[in-house]
Amino acid sequence: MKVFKASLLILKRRAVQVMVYLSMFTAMFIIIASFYSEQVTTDFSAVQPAFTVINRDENTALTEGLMEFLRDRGVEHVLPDEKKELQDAAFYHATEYILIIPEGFDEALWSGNPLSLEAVSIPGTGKSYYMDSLANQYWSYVNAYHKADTSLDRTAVAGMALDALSLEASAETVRHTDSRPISDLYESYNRVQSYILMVVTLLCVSSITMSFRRPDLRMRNLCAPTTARQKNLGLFLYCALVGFIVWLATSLLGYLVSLPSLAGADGRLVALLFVNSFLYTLVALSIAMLLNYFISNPNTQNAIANFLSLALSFLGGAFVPLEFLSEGLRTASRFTPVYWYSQAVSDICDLTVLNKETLAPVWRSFAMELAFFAAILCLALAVGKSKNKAEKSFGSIRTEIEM
Amino acid sequence: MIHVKNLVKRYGKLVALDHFNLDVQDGEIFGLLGPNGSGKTTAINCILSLLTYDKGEISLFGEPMSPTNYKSKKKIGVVPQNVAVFNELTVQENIDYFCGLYVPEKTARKPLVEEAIAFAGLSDFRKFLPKKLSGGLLRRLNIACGIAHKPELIFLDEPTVAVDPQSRNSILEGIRTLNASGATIIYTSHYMEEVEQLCSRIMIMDKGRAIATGTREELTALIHTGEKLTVEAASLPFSVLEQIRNLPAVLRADYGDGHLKADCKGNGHPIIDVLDLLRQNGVAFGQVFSEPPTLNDVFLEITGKQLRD
Repeated sequence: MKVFKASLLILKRRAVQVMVYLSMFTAMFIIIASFYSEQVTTDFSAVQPAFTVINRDENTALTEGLMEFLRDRGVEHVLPDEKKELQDAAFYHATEYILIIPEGFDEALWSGNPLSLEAVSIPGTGKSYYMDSLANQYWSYVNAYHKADTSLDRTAVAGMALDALSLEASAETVRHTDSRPISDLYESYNRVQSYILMVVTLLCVSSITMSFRRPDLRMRNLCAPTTARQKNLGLFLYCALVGFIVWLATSLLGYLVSLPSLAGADGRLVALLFVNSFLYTLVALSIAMLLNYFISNPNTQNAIANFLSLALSFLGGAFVPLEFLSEGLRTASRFTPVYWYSQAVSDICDLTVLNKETLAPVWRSFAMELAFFAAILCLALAVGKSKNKAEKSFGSIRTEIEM
Repeated sequence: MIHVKNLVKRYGKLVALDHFNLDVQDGEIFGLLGPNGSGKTTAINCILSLLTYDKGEISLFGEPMSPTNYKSKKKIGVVPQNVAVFNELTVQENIDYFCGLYVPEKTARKPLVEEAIAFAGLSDFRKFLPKKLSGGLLRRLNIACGIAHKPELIFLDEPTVAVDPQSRNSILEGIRTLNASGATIIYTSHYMEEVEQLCSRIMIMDKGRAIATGTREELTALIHTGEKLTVEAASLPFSVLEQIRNLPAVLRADYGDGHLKADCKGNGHPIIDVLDLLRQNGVAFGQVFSEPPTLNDVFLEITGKQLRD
């Protein structure tokens, strides 16, 4: 237990480094959470955007029909046909959509050579797109009815177009569970958690092994009447405790910060996400145990911890959705544990029904994480066995001989 | 207590220990003296089973030594050449950790740790991290970590390297105290003065071999060189120098920088003859020094090189 206690003491002295990472991560997440404060609901409710129609043509039954159609779905904001006024209104979002009907439009449409309409959309809003699509729908129907029967007058065509556009299909939202799905905020946190789990676990484990692997200290430890099994047990206990604390702290942090958005969410899904992050912690621990044989000073420690964690998280889709990555990177990411972790997060958050079939992909991702853990741990033990031979670890002895 | 027979250790083509033999008795302060690279540390590491060896036998406390001979390991204390302490632990925590590897019971360990802190003179620094300690205090901490569990056999590998004279004296005094309390000590150094002062028996090593073993007197008796005579004289005619050189007990004599220096033969004591000669020839002289032969002279005569080469 001496090794275990000394490890905890060493970690205590190096806690600042770990706390810096955790604090930065917490601050970052709280900032991100504030952007998610707007409640997003999956239920549909119609919005009524402000729109403006500048008609430079004559008022006909067709344009009247358009105005009637748009007024049903939006709020008309009347503006004079002046460029500066229109620019100001668009800039200050007084109107979301401006449609300009050019002179001679009605006649050109009726004669089968329609002129283009001029539309001003406000960048970055869906409302502009919505109004534009409504206007296009109306003119498409008008065009279709006119071409289908050229004997119909403008009033009849406009009426038929409006009738067609007024048709509604009934839709029913079916949800298999009474609970709400996992919020985007909590899902995002779970994805990014893979980074902080990896970096903090690597730092905590390597901080200790870096000290114990110093040749002079290794020699002194080997002189003591403590068996290798006792010393390794102390280090394993330390790794297990640190891994558990890091997992619990980061998982609870995400849960508590996302708590308002998780009201009504299925507790079983949250539990599955906890299990997922726990399995990933095991993978992070095994990677840390492998890498500790290659970390000899604080500089390489920070470089390796950051580079590896960022690279793995990026490759695994923790920061950028995998869809945005190239085909080659996506294929490569399948060989990283973070991919399966992220996959499990997606699968769990998409669950609406919990049964054998729907849970199968989740269990598969869990199994892959466990497989990575077992493989990397075996590799770490093999590397350790080869590197721990006393003779190889005392560089200082040879130094004297070679002087 | 320690018995090493025909130990051979090779690093590739380099023979670090060449049929090395060693016998250390209970209660001794045994010195291993030799230049850097002579094989002192390799010998200790082989004895402690930290290194495998190609040939030979090693037994400690009457039992063959092996990496799993925990019974013997429990009775051994090791003070390595480099300061081997945790930089993240305080003085007290370091001593407690290393003592704890030998004495797991906290109640039994606590007084031992306190005693080691007091012994090393680190009472005022118990809460200090090693990086806050001076070189001398670090060395003392290194020693305290190795002896806190009160071992019967202590290996001290160059414990005074890069230490100021005051700390060095304190360390040497501490080693004598440990020996007086019953511990057998193996002391390696390339500082012959320390070994001469401290050790009851000395082994001189070179190129992995023991070239001479014995007490200081026994070792100096092995060589032809005797005492060294130095006489302060403002001037010395060449004819007088020639007469001194011709004295039967004088091996060689030279004059320079106002000093006459004469190396004498093993059993010769020509100081009276030299001074009589100077007086008879009217040579005025001042201070006269006579030094007995040193271990460096022994090493020089046997190997043809200086210990500190």
